[in-house]
Amino acid sequence: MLKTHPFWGLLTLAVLVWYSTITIYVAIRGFLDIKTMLRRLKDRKGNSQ
Amino acid sequence: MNNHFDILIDGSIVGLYLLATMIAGVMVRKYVAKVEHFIVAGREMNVYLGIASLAATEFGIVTCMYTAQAGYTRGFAGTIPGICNALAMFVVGYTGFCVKKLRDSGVMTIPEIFEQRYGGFVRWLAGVVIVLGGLLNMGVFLRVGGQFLVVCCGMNLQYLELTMTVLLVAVMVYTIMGGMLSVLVTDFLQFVVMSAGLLLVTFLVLGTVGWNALTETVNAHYGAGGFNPFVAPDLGWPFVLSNLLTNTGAVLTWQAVIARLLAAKDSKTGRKVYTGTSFFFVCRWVIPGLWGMAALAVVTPDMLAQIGLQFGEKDGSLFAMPYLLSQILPVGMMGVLVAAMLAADMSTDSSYMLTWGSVIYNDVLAPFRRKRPWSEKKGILWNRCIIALIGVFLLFWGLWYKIEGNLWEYCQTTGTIYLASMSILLIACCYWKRANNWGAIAAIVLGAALPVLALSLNLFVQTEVPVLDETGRQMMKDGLAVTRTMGWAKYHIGDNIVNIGTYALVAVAMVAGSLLKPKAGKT
Repeated sequence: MLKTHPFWGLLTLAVLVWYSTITIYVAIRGFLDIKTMLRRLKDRKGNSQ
Repeated sequence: MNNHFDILIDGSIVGLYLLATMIAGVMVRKYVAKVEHFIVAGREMNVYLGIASLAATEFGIVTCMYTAQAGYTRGFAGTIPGICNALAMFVVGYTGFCVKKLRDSGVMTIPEIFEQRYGGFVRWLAGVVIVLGGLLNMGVFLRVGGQFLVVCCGMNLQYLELTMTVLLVAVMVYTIMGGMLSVLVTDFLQFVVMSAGLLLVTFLVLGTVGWNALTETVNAHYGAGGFNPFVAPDLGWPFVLSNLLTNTGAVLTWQAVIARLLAAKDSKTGRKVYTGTSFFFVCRWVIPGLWGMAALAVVTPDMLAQIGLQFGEKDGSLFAMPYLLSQILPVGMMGVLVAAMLAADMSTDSSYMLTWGSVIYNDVLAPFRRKRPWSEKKGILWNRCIIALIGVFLLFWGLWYKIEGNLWEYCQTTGTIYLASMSILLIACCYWKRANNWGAIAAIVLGAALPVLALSLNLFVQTEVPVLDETGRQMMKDGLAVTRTMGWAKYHIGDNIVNIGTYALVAVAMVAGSLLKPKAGKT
């Protein structure tokens, strides 16, 4: 893969590795972000009433 | 066309995904109490939700189709726009160029910040141009999405309009109810489904076709130009420069992207979302690009011409990728792919409808709210009605407009209607004290007029052009030269030159207009 056209070979590898990793990481951290966001909105709504 | 879509297995996967999205989207509507919640999610978005949302928004079926088309028609060189986009986003996020000032100003849309420097009329005009460019750009999403489903799943062509309508109505329901909050939550879900699907399909495509076959095919069709855009005859420096300009403009002012920055907790969070998402834009072009190149290795031109004719399109290259996938993906994987593509499409549609709706409400309708501010309830109701109207417009525009040539170039040209002027206006607003409303108006008018003129010339003035063979010689049939029709501006000027020229002239108009206006107090 890296012998012919190493730039595109490396870029393709980087894309597959980075995207696989970030998907799992963002899936976990993003879920926590949603929970925090909704909790804070709920608190703000409670405070304003 | 044979395909491997099983209505029971694949249909169940798709149905389950759609149900989960609708439930998640509708459930968060109870948190919407103010216009600020509806448009910018109460500015409570954190980094990882921002990354998921931005990535999901900026990848729809239409993205997958034009990036795969670029891979099919240009090889690896076709992925250059993604590299330009990633570079621009990383640099802007890292340095905070314009975006820090934009987020710190506390505005909800780009035109709102212009009012502080250029006055209320420029804000309104900028809003009109943004909506015009954005809706024209988005207008093709539905049709292309439907075409993907027809080719990939073997769906009957007569159900294309019905499927598009049902999909759009589903998206409208949760977007109208929960605004940005629904968009963020469904975007997250859609990011996970979309990413899993994209990765699985890519591994399968690479495993089936193989890396060596891929590079050899690109080499056989395009030679060195398939790997290096600077030596490709139809690309060259105008293509690279044009893409650098468009992508920098999009990073700075594309309202769907900026909406994430403005929904972020603070400018630091917004910048982290930018740097964290930047490499995704390489993935966004390389992954479907690889599918397109695999199609180049496997799908015959005759088959593509046949599919193109089915849709009344002269060029079948857009359908190479979905046709390849319909042939190589097994049952079960087809369901994963269709769910992933629907996820991608729905997240884009919902974000874009909300985005352009926000600009209509916040900026185009701003003059009506000046004398007597509207209540939060009335504001939310207006936002919801505007999104519904955008949905109706999309349905009609998406049904009758047919794109000629490369889809990415169409998106680029329609985007330039506002990207060129808005990015120049924003840079001048943030960093040039002499910038004023004369320059801003001149820049907006010129920035919209040039791409619209080019689009009109392409649509209404056709030119007969010779068809060349692979060696560059005129093709002949029965002793006559083979020709085809092409848009006037596309043939005589070229999309990339139109794009570069628009940016250059807009910058000149901004400077000249601002300098021509007499300074206040001078006679």
